[in-house]
Amino acid sequence: MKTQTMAVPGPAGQLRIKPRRTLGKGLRIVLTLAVMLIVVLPFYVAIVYSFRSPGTVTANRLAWPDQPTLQNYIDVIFQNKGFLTGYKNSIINTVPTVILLMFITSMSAWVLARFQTKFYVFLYSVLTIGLLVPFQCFQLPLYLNWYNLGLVSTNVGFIIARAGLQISISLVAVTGFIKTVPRELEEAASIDGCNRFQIFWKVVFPLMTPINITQVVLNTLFIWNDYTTSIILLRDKASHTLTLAQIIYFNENTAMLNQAFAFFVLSMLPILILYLGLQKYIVSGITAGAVKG
Amino acid sequence: MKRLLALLLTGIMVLSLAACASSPAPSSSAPAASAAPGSSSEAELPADPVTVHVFHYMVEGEKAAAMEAIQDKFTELYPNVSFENTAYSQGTDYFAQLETAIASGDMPEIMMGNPGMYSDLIDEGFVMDLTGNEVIQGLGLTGADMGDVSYKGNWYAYPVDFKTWGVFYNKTIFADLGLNVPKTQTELLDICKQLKANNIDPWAQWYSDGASVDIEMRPILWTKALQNGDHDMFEKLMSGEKQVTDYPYFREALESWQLRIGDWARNDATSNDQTAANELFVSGQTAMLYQGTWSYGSIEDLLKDNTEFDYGFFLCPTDDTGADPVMNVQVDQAFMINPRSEQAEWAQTFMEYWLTDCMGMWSDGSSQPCITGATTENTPDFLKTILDIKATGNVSGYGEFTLPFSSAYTSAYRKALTAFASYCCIGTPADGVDSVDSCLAYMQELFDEEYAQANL
Amino acid sequence: MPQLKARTISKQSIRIHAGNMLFLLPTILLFTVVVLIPFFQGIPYSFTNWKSIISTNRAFNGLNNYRYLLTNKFFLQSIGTTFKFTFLYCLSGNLVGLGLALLIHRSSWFNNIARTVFFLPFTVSVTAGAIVWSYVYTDVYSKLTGLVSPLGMPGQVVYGMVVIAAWRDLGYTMLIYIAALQTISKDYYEAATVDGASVLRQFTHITLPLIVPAFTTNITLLLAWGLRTFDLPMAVARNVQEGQFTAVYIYDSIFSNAKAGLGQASAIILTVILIVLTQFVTRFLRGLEVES
Repeated sequence: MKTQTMAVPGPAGQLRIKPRRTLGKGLRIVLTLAVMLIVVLPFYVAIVYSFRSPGTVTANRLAWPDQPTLQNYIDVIFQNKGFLTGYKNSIINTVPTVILLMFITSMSAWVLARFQTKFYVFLYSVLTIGLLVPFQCFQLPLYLNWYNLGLVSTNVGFIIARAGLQISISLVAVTGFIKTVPRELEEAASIDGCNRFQIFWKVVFPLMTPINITQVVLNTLFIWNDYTTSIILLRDKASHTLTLAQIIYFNENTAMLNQAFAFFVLSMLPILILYLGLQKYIVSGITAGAVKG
Repeated sequence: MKRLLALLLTGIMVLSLAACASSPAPSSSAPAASAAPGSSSEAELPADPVTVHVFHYMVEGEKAAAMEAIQDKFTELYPNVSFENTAYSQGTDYFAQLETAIASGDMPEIMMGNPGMYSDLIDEGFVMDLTGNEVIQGLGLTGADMGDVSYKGNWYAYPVDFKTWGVFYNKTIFADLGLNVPKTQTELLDICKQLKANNIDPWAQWYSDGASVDIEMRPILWTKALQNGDHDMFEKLMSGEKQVTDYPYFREALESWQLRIGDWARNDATSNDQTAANELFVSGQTAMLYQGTWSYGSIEDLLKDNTEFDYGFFLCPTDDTGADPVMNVQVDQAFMINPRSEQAEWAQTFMEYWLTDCMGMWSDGSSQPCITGATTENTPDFLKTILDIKATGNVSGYGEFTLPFSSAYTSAYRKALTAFASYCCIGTPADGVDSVDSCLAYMQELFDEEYAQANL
Repeated sequence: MPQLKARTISKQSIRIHAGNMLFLLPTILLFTVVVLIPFFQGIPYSFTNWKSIISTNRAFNGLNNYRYLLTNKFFLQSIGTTFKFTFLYCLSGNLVGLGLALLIHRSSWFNNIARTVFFLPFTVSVTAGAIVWSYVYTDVYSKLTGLVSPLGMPGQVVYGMVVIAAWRDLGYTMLIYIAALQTISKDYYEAATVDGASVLRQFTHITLPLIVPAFTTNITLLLAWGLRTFDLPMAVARNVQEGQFTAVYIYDSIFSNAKAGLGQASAIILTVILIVLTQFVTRFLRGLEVES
């Protein structure tokens, strides 16, 4: 709060600080804008392509099309047979996986963050090993097991596999977060006579809201965009997700570049909406108040 | 801690043993084919619903749609038969997915691919021997065509169409500059010079894809090797009996390639893929495009709303004799049958129906030249020209070689070619390749690597 | 920090550990079924001459695969390429992420928009993002500079991919840094300002030490992602030897080139490298962590 008020003209004593601060702020904005420009560039290219009509292949591929068309989007939605099924499957697969992950990782991360004996440290290393094992190393045995269990091309099979693969990444982030949350509240609750389950659900879990929402968003992205696992485990066309519906555009020889980019934009939209909707929770600094003490 | 470690190790060993015991590959006892019609007789229709699974790599819409149309027609005839198609991109996923499926015992009935590239499938008994099949025999194909669907002398696939490659050129640009279709390599080089003098880039190139230099080499490599009777060239290279430098054609093809195409690179030559190059050509930014016939449909697609663009096609002259260039021919779409799949006989019935009744339909739908030369009233002139050349017999076919490069050798070969293309286009050595000699040496090194791995 | 020692067996500690197990059980179960079991199932294959995965023939060949790989030029090259990529990617992804987090970690409408924008790339799949970038390189970069796209130059393909990977993931690292920055109590800065500490001094003495957990998370993550990178070279560097990463080498060996045993062995080697390296880095970073 202090830093913000300092930018405002105040008593003579603070005038020395003011110009530097203002300059800092201006520079910050310029710098931020410059990076934004670079980050956005690929999206601009994708959007330009997605609005081009097929006949207007022009020399200047960067220019905004003279006659922008929605035809590519319409073609993607109505002509790509995999699109609507893919959308449906992506949602059916992603939502339960993400919710499952939120509960199981927050529970285990709490234990792993709070207990630092050798056993738990070792367990933590084992559970996060998933980050380190290349998927190619076990994709074949995984597929064979799933096939024998009848889990190939099923939503349940995908959800279990994808959640299992995601545990490591989630665990690292959530455990790291809990370590920044002081245990005083838990200790207080314990003195008040709460058992451990009550402590977790009534005290810790609510405190974890920012990281949990962050994890929901991030895991959604990972799973929504998953290709490597999907292509192995989802074989029937009826079970294909958006990323698999997309492969018809990204092969050696396709004339549907404009559609490919329209698809790209369309498949990004729900994630973007989710992110925009949850953004304020993600980094709202809810914990900051609880940290004091 | 130590106890834990010991426990974990024990766990590992138990699991490892379990994994050893349970082999992932399917048992060799093939499931007996369920009630299915005799492959060639007009059998009574069983009422049991039948699903035929097709694994293919025609991910782009047009060809897949053409096949589905044929499948629909077949289902009209046999209402109990339905199809399930699974498509993967050939360069990255197709073979991996097919193998994974088969390794788990999940057997597709129909598998797209030229048998020589998928010899593992044949060696392990997952491909039906079609030697002497009446329908294939009835197509009256050349020995070269049959070679493409054969392996060690036996037939293993139903061939549907073929591909070749050459130069697509912009007729308007050619006419404006008074250029004619070249008859010799020197004339071709003159055209490049004139285009360059008029600030027009001669070629749209796509070297981010290894197939590109490969097909640009073939008019010399295949033709010369076959003319000199080296039918076993690829076989000998793979068996390690011969070295790349034992065959002068590789050097000759590389040198000629550099003259004709490599030296005329735009600065996007090494980063373009096929799609980008096709667009460059169609948008009039380059006068020529070296492409395979498989791209004909895609090019036409790009021109859907553009009737002004006028283009033609010629085979690339590679010498100064002035004789008609020899056309390379390779079977493109070909389909193998898995004898261990449940509905193998229905799959055969379907393929034979396709070959006998639907060739014209396939050609129209996919814009591909049929292996039988079948045409309809809709067949475009482009395809007719190709078919006419093939009919003259002035061709050199991949099938005339005893064995084609396996997929591992193909990718090694293309890596060396891509490195040379990079060097020619950019001027900086790539993977130590900065000359024809070093390219050949690198190619041999990659082959040796492959050979060593196979004998581990 | 009070450490809970499990040495003294008391009723209470049994209850605590049993409770812990209940909390951990779902995670352990899922992880074992999906990752651990298949991983251990794969290990025995690395000691065989297994060729095509559809073949039932495979004979024990001892350490041949390992011996071959550890002296093989191409495999070692792929590890070198992977290291080079990972180092640059981890460095740039973290520096840019931290820089952006410092720029915009305070809440304001402008910063909120900026965060959204920086996070946009992470909503894109690697494959799709890489393909869009290949067009950015040819349509924008080449047009503006007259230079060849880095993806088209074997010597630069790794840098080209670092840019794509860092572009995609900077939003992720930024978020984690922002979350960490926001847990730092403003009191520290107020006190430091009163004491007359410069902004730089505040940064190195307050901010940095307190966000070490975020460093641990981000560096470990990017290190692991970098070393396992697969989609990116598959999408844009399929034919270039310089773009051959170890993960691609594994995939090609097992699936494309019918050398399953060898591929499995190379996967084990990569896993060992990954574990050793990340353990080392994590331990180092852990040592720097302070509890606030």
